[in-house]
Amino acid sequence: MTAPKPILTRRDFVRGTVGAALGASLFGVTPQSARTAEARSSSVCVIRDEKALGEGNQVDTAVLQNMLDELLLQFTGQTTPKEAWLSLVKPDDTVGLVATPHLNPTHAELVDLVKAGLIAAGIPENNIRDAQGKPDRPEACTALIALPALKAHWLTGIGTVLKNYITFSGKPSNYHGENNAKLGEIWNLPIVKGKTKLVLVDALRPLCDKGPQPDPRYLWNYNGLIAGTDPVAVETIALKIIEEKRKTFPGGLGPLSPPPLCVEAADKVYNLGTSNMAEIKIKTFGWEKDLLL
Amino acid sequence: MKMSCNASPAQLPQTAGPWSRSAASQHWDAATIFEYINGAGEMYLAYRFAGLDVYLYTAPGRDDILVEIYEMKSPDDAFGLLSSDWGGDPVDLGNQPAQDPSGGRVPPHRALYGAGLLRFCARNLYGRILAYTETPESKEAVLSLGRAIAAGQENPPPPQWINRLPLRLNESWRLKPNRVCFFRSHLILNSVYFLSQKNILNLDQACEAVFAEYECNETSATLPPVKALLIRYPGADRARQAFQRFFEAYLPEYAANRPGDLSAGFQDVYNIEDGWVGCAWHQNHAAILFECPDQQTAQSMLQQVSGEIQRVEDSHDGS
Repeated sequence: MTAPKPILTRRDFVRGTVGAALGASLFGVTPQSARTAEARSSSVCVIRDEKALGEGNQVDTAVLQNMLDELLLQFTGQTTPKEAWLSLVKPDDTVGLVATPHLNPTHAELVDLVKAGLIAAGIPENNIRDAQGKPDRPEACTALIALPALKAHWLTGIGTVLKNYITFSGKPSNYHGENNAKLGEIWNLPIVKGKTKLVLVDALRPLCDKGPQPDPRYLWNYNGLIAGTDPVAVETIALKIIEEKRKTFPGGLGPLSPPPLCVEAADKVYNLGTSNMAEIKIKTFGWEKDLLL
Repeated sequence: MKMSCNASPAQLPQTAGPWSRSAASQHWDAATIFEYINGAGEMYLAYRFAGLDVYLYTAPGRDDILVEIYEMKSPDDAFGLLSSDWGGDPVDLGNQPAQDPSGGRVPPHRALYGAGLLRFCARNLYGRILAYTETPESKEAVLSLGRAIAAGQENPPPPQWINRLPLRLNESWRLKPNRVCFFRSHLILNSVYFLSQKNILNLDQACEAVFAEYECNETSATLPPVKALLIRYPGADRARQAFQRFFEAYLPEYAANRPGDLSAGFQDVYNIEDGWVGCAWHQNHAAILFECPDQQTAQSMLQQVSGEIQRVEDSHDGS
């Protein structure tokens, strides 16, 4: 007879034992302590431009194009956008773009610019697909570019990078409710694992509370893009921006509730990347006001 | 599957200022709500949800106005949805309760507006009306639509279970009305006060629960608020099962000493990492206090809330 799995509670947060409790509660095991001793490092780039959103919060496409190009050059170290894209994907790749389709969706202008950039880099247009949806979509792709929009989520704390692939599971309801900590599991599915060449977060107008349904009280113009190849590191930076923004409200909005368990689980349980700020090298470019980092 | 709606629970005007709506609404039920709001449907299913009607108002040269009318199975459920967030500016839609039998335990308004979004309850309806771009003109249209939906839908008093919350604990700890939330699901509890990823209190739609915060009004104190959780289970057996699960999950070091027989009721306090926890169980009722600053305060507060949950239910107490 096996012992029941321990249950993660508020007390684990107070004790600082969330990582161990997550592993135990999800799998009945303690995460490998040896792995935590490995030297890890991930880079995340953030670029902002005060003029990215104009009147009525309309996207200035020319400004966004400059932001995207600069971000790619800085992140990849290449000298042209074409070289930058080709350092991430191969000309014969079938590239799936995975945007957030609704409830504070990814700006269509960003998706269009990414697609145009890939075409300009030599990827045939018919090899670039909308991969958001059922499992057959990522399965048909050899490379994925995650394009989530930044938002807090009432059920998972944050609903940005990790949650963006939920439909790839084929059973999104398996990751609802108390099972949302397991979202990282989806990134290790054979149809997904190793395919994500870039995580590019639309942080133009994020939502810092009450998501995913839009509540304009908590939307603000951050005018930013966030990029990296480590989904957990990118999510961690996205989370930091959300948490810092919440502190700016009168009296503060308090910590995210429920806490974003999926982020630490993606690191400690699913080994997708690092959620440790000390292991993330943040490079910021452009508009510095209210950077929140 | 998306369906058009033949009979909306509310009568909406064809126009609101320069905005006009399409003839039919989109209707969603419990089986299809995730097709409309994947990732947020649980919030409505956590209460007793009957259906959702969605209307889009459009106007040339202006951003759209989205009207969502959630039909709940009781006014308590519509109230519960509003109570998860008391932020925003109070608005009178003309359907305020005639009096407040809660004695000030919750804010008096049932409609709140902020930055283009109106949220309100109207009898068993919960409404969200969102102007994607806020202007004086769109605000007036949003409010006029809210008034149209609320017309003739006078709000009843808040859920009776809320009245078990003391207005003060130990004299110096005062209830914060804007931190009172009525709910039935651990998912909602976790959104206002995270307790556990699992449903360790065995909550479901047959339960009534209220979460509240009490702040210390002694000026020299900088103590965090005490959190109170009062639950009414549908029966004593359900309460006893929840008692057992809560101790095993949240207070495992004390679980071995918990009584097996709750017929005479139970109350005790425990010291954990973030303060003292007080627990009281009586028949099908439970009260739990979190983050009490010390043992004496916890015992005193628990004595008070324990008395409230032992109070015999009368005909005005909603059972």
